[in-house]
Amino acid sequence: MSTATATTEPLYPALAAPPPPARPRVLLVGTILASAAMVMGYAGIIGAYVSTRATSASPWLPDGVVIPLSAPNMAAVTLLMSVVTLHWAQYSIRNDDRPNAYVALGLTLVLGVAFVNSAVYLFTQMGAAIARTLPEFLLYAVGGFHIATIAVGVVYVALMAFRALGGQYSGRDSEGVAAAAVFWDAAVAVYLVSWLAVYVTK
Amino acid sequence: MTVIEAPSSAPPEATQDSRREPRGLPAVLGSGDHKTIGRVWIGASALFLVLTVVVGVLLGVERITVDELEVLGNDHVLQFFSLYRVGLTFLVVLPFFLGLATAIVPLQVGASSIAFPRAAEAALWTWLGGAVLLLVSYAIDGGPVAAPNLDPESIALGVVGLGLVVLGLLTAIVCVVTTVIALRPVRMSLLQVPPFAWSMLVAGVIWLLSLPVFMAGLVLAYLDLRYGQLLFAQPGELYQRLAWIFAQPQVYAMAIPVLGVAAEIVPVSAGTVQRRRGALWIGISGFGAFAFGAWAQPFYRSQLLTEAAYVGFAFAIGLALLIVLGGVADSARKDRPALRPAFVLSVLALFVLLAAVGAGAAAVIEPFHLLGTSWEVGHLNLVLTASLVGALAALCWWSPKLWGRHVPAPLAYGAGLLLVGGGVVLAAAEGVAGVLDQPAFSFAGFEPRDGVETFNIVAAAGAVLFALGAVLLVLALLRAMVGNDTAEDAQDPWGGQTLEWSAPSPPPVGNFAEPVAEVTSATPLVTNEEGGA
Repeated sequence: MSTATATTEPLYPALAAPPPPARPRVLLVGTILASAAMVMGYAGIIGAYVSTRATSASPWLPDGVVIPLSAPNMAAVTLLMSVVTLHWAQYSIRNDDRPNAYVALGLTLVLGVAFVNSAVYLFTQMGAAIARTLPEFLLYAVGGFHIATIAVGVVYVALMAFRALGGQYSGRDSEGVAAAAVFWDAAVAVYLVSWLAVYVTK
Repeated sequence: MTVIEAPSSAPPEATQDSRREPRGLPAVLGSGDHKTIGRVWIGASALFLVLTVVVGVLLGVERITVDELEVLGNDHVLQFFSLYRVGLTFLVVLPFFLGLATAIVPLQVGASSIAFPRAAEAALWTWLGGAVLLLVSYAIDGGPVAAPNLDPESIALGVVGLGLVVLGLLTAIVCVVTTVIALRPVRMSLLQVPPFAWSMLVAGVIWLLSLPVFMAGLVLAYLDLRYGQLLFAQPGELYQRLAWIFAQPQVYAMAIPVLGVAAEIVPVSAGTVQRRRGALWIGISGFGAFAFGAWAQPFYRSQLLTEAAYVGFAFAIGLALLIVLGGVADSARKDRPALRPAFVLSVLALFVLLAAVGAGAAAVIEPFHLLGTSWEVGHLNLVLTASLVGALAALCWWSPKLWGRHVPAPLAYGAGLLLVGGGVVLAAAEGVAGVLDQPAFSFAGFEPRDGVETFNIVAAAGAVLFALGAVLLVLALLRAMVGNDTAEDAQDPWGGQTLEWSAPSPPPVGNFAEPVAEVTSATPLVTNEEGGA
């Protein structure tokens, strides 16, 4: 049998039913907590890097190891663009603009993969070897952390994109995309800290 | 939209069967039911408790003679030392409270399930798998302790095992904290959640912010072991880099739930409603905030131990604890509380925790120079004692809800008194030995002042008493877990004030007969004026 899906306005607004209870935002809260844990994990790694650098004899980087600024700059710009596209996707979903949401989610995924490519390329440019000296080892640890977190973010966004394609998210419920955006923003924020503390200040 | 209706000829029994609660192995392995998951956490942590207290006794005996190592030998003493601390913290106390929270907190906030039930199940098995790997690595000359005589591959296995343990704990924390924040009924504010749920929220946030830092250390350690051993070049350096988790202020984080347990039990036992709830909440939150210790890692900054912030935290946490004690005492003064095991043990746990905070504050005072001595080990043992006694009190309180059976009072009192007596004797003797210059990490090859060996004998006796108490605790748990009988008063034996006592004991899948729609009181089961229901 079929039922009507259109909503009807109440005949007497004063007698309208009370608004439904606020929907629990379980996924969003869980993602905020997981993102906080990720940020603290990053704090542990960058803390080890900075404190070891502060107590080491100068120069910090051994001969033959250089950190070119162009690749980290490009990576930072790529991630900043991905933040814009992901929030564009979130805005579009919230306004039931599905075509724009799909384009924005796809662009975010492409930019995320581009960042991973850029970060791996940076390792080849630096001339560093993970098992040679302590600074090189820590450079790999910090860079590897960002590759891992953005890779997790790409999987998260892809999952939410597939759910959006399946029609799960709409203007009434965009929680999944909002949750992915929270994790993505946190991952980008910690990369920007590394960009400043590791790649710019060296 | 098309609605497909079931044919009217379908037998109703078939529908009931498909919704029947899973039993036996399927229930344990993958039902996703939070009570089952919580029970497995608690049972497994009890098994690990027996193992770790045996290690504690061996360490106590090893300490008796300071000239040579006769029991464990120089090759293995650091391994056992780390196993005792890692075991009691990550395999016993934290998982016990997380298991209890997994089982009880959804009931307390009126939820039909825990948030992310499959993640909660995965957390349990990740933790358990990691624990097994960790113990296997210890058995094959490993563990997260780098030393020249140990096998690097086995050490790496231990680091991976401990990493999985922490990952499992973190996942479980996310589930519990999300449950408190997002699955409360409409109009139940955070001020109205039960004290244990609030303490788990505070503890969960603190663990969530500090354990990832510990995890980062483990990741670096693993990479270092695989690639050149550049970061942890010196023997024992790996453990010292991770040891901040067992030192103040971070060590207090494992005892945060004890405050919630006591604040839950005392008012109900006194037949009253907690007054000045906001102050109590501030006390528990303050205790949690001052227990955050990821910033206090002396390995990176040795001068940290004399800095004002470090010393200030040691004293400030005492003030927060006094606020909690005052709030709990205020609720008990109206009437003479019923002297049940849960009440007695929870109050004892609070006083042991107060002693621990006092010992911690004494250690950071400059003239005493007790940091780095076995005073620190005694301090850790006091916190562990308070946590275990608090866990026992919680077990006595909620076992009718979890298993439908009471913990026998003689077993509970016996376990509690042995734990408190043994723990206090052990800690006091280790503390005095620390005053006599006995170091925390070295077991031989140092020169303490005369009389240390006498106190080490007393400490060993304390370790034996503590171990006996732990064994009785496990027996008490077994008595509650095993059996076909259900206590007649199991649904609400104490005159409980919070939602879990309105559910059947043990609660079915879905917890409540009908969804809890709206809660406007902190004590929804209290019908008098004071309760506000």
